[in-house]
Amino acid sequence: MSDYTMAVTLDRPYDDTVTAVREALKAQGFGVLTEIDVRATMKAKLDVDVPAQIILGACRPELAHRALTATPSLGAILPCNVVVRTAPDGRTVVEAIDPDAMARLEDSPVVREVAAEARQRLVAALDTLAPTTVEA
Amino acid sequence: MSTVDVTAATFESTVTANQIVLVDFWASWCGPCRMFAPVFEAAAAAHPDIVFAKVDTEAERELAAAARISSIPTLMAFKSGQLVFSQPGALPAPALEELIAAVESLDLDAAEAAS
Repeated sequence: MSDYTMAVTLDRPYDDTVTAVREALKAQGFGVLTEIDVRATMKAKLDVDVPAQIILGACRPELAHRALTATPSLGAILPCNVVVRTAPDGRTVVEAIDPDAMARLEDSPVVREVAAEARQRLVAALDTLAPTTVEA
Repeated sequence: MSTVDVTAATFESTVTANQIVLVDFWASWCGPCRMFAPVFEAAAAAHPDIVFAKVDTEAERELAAAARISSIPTLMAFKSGQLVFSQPGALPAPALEELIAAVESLDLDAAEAAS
């Protein structure tokens, strides 16, 4: 959570959450075009151990097409990254770019419209994420 | 007592004018927040001497940013206007009761002297 992200902390294991996030994005019409396994990459490139984290590049093609047609430069900040990472106490954080932040960078009617729909769909995807177990 | 919605305009006065204030930062799209809401409501009913405040982070984005909320749900506890607890993740009811007891028994002067 920041000026440019939306983040939720779940009582759910990392692997299980990654699966749930993939399904939630798919249900909202987002394909995952890019995947960066941050832990594996840091280990391979720098031989350092970092907590499990993956960056999923989520794209809804019709939205991207509208945005890029109106403003080619937006390609520099696409697709919408959704990050899943481990947090203390066995929890997992899911953090997505807030498309409103993109609209702040490029303030045009088309981008505002596309960002609003992208945000609505990302929020709907986040909305389906809940803990697997309910503690009393 | 029921929970009270606070905004950027009322946050500081709420925190400083009351002995103990718990603040739940939430959003409608956050599943764990929806799970925590009834736990928070029940604790509010059980502890009428404590203020149970809620911040809708969608409506109060600047306040959430100013409070450095990294993720929701986040629960904060203030005693005598000082932040004494801040943690993301929904707390189960027993853990919330433990936190309330700890904040109630916390001696701010002793904590300050020891730091």
